[in-house]
Amino acid sequence: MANIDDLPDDVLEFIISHLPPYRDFECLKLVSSRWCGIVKNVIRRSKMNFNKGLENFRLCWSSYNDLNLNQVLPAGRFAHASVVHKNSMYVFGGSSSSDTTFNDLWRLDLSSMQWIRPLSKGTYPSPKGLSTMLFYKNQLVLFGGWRYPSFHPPYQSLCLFDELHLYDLVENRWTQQPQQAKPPPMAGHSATIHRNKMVVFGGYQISGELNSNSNEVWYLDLENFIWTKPKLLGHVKPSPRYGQHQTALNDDHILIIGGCGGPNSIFKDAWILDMSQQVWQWKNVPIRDQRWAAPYIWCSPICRVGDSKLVVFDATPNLPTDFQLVKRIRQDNEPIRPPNHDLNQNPHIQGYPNLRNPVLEQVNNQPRPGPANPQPGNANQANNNRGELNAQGIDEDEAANRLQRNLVLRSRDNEPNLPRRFDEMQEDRFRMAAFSDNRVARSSNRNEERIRRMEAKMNALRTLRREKNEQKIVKEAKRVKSNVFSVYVCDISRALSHTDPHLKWIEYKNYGIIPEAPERLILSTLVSGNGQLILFGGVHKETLTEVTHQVSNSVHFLHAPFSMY
Amino acid sequence: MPNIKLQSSDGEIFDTSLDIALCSLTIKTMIDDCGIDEGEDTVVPLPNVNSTILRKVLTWAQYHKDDPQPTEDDDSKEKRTDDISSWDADFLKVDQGTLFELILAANYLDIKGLLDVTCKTVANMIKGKTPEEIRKTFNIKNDFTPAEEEQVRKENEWCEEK
Repeated sequence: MANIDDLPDDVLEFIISHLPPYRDFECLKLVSSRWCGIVKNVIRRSKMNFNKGLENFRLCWSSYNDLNLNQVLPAGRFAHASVVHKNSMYVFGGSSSSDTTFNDLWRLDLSSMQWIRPLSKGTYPSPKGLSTMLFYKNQLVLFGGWRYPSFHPPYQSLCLFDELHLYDLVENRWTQQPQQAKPPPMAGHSATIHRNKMVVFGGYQISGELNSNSNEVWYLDLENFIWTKPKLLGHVKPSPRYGQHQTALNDDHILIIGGCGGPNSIFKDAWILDMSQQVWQWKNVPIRDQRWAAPYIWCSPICRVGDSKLVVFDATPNLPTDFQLVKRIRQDNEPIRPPNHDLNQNPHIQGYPNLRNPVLEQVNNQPRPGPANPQPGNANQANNNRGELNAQGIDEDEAANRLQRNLVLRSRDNEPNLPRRFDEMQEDRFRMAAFSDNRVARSSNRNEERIRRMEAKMNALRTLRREKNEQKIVKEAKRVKSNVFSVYVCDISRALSHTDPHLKWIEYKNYGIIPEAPERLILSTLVSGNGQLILFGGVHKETLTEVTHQVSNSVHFLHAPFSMY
Repeated sequence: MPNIKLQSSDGEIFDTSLDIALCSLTIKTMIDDCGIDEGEDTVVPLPNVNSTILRKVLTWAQYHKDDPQPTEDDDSKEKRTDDISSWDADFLKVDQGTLFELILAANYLDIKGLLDVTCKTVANMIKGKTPEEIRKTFNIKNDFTPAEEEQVRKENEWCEEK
């Protein structure tokens, strides 16, 4: 009679690959030396496949939002804090669908896919979002955060926190840690742990009566809980920001990337904080192939995988806004620039009208006029251009914009080398009506004719609008645009290279859209599990301005497909 | 659909419809490569499968012969083990020996659907068990020395700490 050990190794590997790669794997390793070797093989293979998948975009999504209907689930939330430890993902707090914040702690057992709410004792943290939570020596370290101003009495400023809490995972107990000479209350800062230090950078703060962003570095000694503001060498440092991603490259080096410096100021730059010497030092790291970069590295889930990659889930790359920029410059009688096809110069900004920044609006609690942000860097330049566009009011003319977009699409039709947009077929009917000709005809004469016709149409539309400006009916589109997460990958393996330090965005396939991709939400969290990434929560960006936001409590996994041979 | 004759390791001949036999990619390749003509009275020898198991395999194939062919995309489907159909679940209520023989046969005959469902069944038998329970369930001998076992335990801890 056959025994399980009669099965060949590859079949056993296949069986094991059906199990969640957590506690079951650990148990199987302890069964016998053969099983131990096989499990190690499966782990090695799945890591390798995932790493390869992040280069060639052979990946797959799966979700566990409705697996077990009987279990208790955490409420939907965004701007929470998540961390993985010992086959579990811990989630703290965050914002609710109705402008309130949570202070609950949940544990998702990744081995059994069960949500557990531990019965916690001790002094609970305040309900808050945008705090940082890290693991250190059997404890979770929770710092900072913010909560919405309460409605009664109205017009209060929002509340920022400098609270430091420790959660003992063995005792299930929260302790509030007294701190001396502590940094100001902050939210949207970033933090990593290096030996016994928690290093905190940036964040959104209130100094005096003013909202401000920080570019300060602080560190907390986790043994005696003393804060220090370290001396930094030179004056080169990242611009003030919040919502950036921070990762520990090793014990002595921090990498930060992206962040937001205020309205119309989204950062795409990267910096390394060198802590190996007595005096710490910031260094800017060049990023290559920005054309494959994620558009928003500040409210999008981002996470490091292994030592070599950063993964960002973000909006689908859109059409370059080159054409619009060129058009506007010409109108201003400025020197005509050739259309810039190097997308490095132009971050793909999704949604032409008003680069809305609802989260920031919430944070500020009042829309601020976009301040000119004299930051260096291409991203800002492009953003300022956008700001001017907004000032011109051109982008309010949606119809004209659509036509312009269609023009860009049309001119692309003549360039077979350019990739087709994934949603090109679903363009608005405006376009379909105007261009229901067949694509085979590609004479450039016809095309020029077409463009001329388009421009005429566009001008007519503009004139019409100007005339009707007073009686213009503002129609708030109620429909919520549904789009999915695209995957962006940045190679960080050469970040600390002595000769040529740089980061490099990896070329995506099919606009980074992996089949079954979940809907794009912002302010969800992304953590790295065994050979998979775990995405939780988030809010539908378009609903942030509504009374009730669409928030999520589902868990999604991104992993490599399993191939047996 | 014409018939084809399959011969098990213990010499029993199974006269079976070709579309059922073609669930097995191994048999399909044999027919394609060796040019076994339809209608010809050729017997395909299957020296790795005994008659008891071959009968079970053919029962399974009979029921599943109209299933859509697995594609490359199936690789990207999530690996879940709770999607075994009730017919398959009933079909696989067999002793462990038969289950493993079925896996070996499915592997040899290259029947992806049968391999999937049998392996899932075994995965479900492993899920949530302690090392000792797994050893007991499958009658596996622990060949670790205490020192080695301690080493693996430490590795597990270390992995957790990252």
